This record gives sequence, C-alpha cells and structure tokens, in this order.
Amino acid sequence: MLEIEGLSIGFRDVEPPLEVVRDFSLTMEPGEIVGVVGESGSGKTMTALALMGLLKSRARITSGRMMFEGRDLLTLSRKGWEEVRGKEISMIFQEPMTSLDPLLTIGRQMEESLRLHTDLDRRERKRRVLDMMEQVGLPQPEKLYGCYPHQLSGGMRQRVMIGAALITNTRLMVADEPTTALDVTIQAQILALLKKMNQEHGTAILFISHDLRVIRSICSRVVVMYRGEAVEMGSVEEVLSSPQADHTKQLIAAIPDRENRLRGGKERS
Amino acid sequence: MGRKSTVLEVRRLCAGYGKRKKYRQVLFDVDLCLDRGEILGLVGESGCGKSTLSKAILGFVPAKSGQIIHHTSRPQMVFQDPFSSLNPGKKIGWILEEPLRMQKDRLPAGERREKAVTMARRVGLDESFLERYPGDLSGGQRQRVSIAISLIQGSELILADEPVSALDVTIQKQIMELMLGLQEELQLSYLFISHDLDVIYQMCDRVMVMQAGRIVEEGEVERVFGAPEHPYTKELLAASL
Repeated sequence: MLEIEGLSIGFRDVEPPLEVVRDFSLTMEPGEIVGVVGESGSGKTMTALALMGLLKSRARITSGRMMFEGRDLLTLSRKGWEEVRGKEISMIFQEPMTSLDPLLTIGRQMEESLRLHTDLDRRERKRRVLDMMEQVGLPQPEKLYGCYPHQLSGGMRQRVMIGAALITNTRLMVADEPTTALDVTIQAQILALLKKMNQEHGTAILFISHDLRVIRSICSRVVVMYRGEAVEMGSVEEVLSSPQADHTKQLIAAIPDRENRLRGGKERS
Repeated sequence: MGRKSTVLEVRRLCAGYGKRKKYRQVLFDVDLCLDRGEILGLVGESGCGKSTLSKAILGFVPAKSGQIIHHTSRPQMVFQDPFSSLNPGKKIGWILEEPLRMQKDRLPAGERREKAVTMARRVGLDESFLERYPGDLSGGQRQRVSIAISLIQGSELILADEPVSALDVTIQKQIMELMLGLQEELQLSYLFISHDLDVIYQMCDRVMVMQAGRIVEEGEVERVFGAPEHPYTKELLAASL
C-alpha cells in the first residue's frame, strides 16, 4: 500500500546544508499498524509531514520515492495532494487543542473532509458525522455537534480528531504522538479506540511516538529512528526482545519499567 | 527516627483559587509527612491538584485551613519545562549565582562564582557552561541547570514538579540517576510529582495517589504498586502500559 524508498529530507538554506532525514525506507500493508519511535529531533515528524505533503517550504525532499497505492506522491501537484490528503491519507496530531479550529463547531470540523471530498448533501453529512461521533465514543452526539473545542476535554478533542480523520474512510492515518498530551487513563482509552477503528475499518496507522511503551501496546512492526536514519526495523516483539542497533538498546534500557528500580531498597531512618 | 527527622509536615490542608463567590477549592484535607532523605512520590492525573499542593507548600497558593510546617529552610522547586524556567537573556553562570545574589548577607563575587562552578560540576556540567546561554543548551542540560539552582543555597528539601516529563527517555534516565545521586550524597528530601507511574516506581520510597484534590492512597511504593487498595489506584495501574 505504502512504499517509501530512500527518502531524504534536508534544509538547503542553511550552511552547510542540513539533512534531517537520511535514506529512510518503509513499506506498509493495508490495515497494518507500524510504529516509528525515536527521540526528539530524530526525524519522525519530518517523515510524517513529508508523507502528508505538508513539509514547510524550507525543507525539501532531496531524494527518494514515496508510492501510495500505485501513485507517486512526489510528483503530485498541489491539486493532486488535495485529492489524497484528508481523503486517503489523514493525520492526527499530539495537541488536539491547537489542531482544532477554536471558532468552528465540532460538527463543522468533523464534516470538513466530507464537504471537500464528497458531494453528499448537508443532511447526509450530518448523519455521517453523528454516526462517526458514536463510533469514536463521543457522548451525546446531537448535543456535541454544536459545541466548540474549548468545551471539550483533551481526550474528547482527540476523539473528535480521530473521527474527523476517519470520516472519509481513510486508508492510512498518520498519528503523530496522539496520546502524549493525555493522562494515562485517557491514553489507554484512545489507544483502544485506535485499535478498534483499525480493526473495524481496516485503516492502516503509521504511529509516531517517543514512547516505546505506547508503541509496544499498539503496533505490530516498528522502525527505530536515530539522527534522521532508520537504525532498526522489525516486528515489535523481535526488536524489543533482541535489539540489534545500539540506539535501540539504549532506548529499551531507558524505559522506566517496573523491573529495574533505580532507587534500590534504600534504608530510611 | 520519627518526628525528629521530619523535614515537612502538611496537616489537613485545604486550599484553592479565586475569591469569595468564585472560590474554587482544589485541595481537600491533604496530609503529608516527609522524612529526611526520603523521596515521596505524588501521582495523579492533570488537574487533580498535584502542582497546587507543591505551590501551597511554598506559599504561592494560600491555605484556606490546615497547617504547613517546614523543618528546613529554603525549600526549592524544580519545574517540568526547562525551556521556560530559565531566563533566556542571561548566561548560565549569572542564572546560577542569582539565588546567592538575592541572599541577605551576600557573598563576595568571587565566592559566588566558586559556588556556581562547584554546583555546575556536581550536576555534570563543566565550567564552560557558565558562559553559555539557556538557548545553547539541550533540554537535559537545562534541567541539570535547574537542579543546580535549586541546590545552590544548600536547600535540603526539593519539590520536583514533573522534572523529567518533558525529556526523552534516555535523558530522563540520566536526570533521574543524577537526582538519586545528589539525594544520597547530600541527604536531600524530594517531593517528586509525576503523572508517570513507572517513573514514580523507579524513583520513590513512598507514594501518595491524588484524585480530585484528595489523597486516596498512600504507602511504600512496592506495596501500592503490588497490592493497590483504592479503586482509583487500581484504575491508574491498569491504564499504564
């Protein structure tokens, strides 16, 4: 479904030219959940933005190929991107506070993709939105439809984002740290929701996170990025149980798990 | 040994924000006792009152009722975001010396400098860092600076509010190890606030679980994680990955 080959992204307006992603390759099958893990500045988000055709103008794709369902994404015109983005590939972000428009109602934001990509009439769009609200677990859809983002909690806003992203039966969803800003109990709910949507709709998810614990809980395969390069790739199980790259080993050793307690059984007075 | 080594006591503390009709109580009957050399974890979800408690302890939020008793001088705070908590226009050396400059019986410049150098080294930064600006430092390095600032006046009690939450895991681990090393060396006491149960488990001796402004469970870390009693603690543990 998705094939990224030798992707490099750089900033050419700085001296010396800066490569932030180097020779990155990845393939994804329909319905798969693949994780991209790495620390801040490792190139995760740049890769995701490139995949959405959303790189800022300073950043350029310097080499490589990106094929999505037989189409070459790198040759897409602005118009071509508008056909793909939001309809076949959509994205959700870490901060549901800033990625929803504060001045538009929840209903209006969720139907946006339907307005752009379908010729459904108003009533049909509303019916689909209410149906999607139910699917992503938003309570009282009729009432929420006319609410504004600030009236919702972080977890509910993220549900809105997910609903909006999936409403056109998206084939691929790019999720950039979608649970990082949420409390653990909410995080667990959102991860469960993503899994459910993945199973019911067959939407493939490219799941970007700095947290291997999250990746472990939702992905089947994982790519480890370090300083712009994919240093390791494989099934989550394999990578976690027998990591090959040094950086993967460091990441795993640093997971604050409940087995290696740093604070040894210190005697207290 | 019981009361004698207690550095901080909070008794039936109620506190909140706003005036008169707009008053909103955030903390309800919070009790807390922190011993010398102890690391006490405080865990709970956003908005539950964790940060309000630490602010109340430092007097930034007035208590409505209850007592806060300090048995040490100059408790200090370390914040989550090392990007917004350091003055971007000043060099690290200046920032480190600032608490000393504010003291009543001010040390001469030479001695202040000396202390800043020593403290920087202690947190793993060499002397050259004193000439740099916060913008030149990574998140981990800035958090090292924040820790150095909190310790430079000889404080024994540190309130650390999500000190590693904004850091990458590998850096997170380094900072946790640094804090544990300093704790041992200087016999510090920490109130360690985090929403991350795994971080609490790694760092703390005891943990208090806060929900909607109340402490719902408290105990040795092993006991609370191994055999949680309160439904909310169970819920938190079940949700963590």
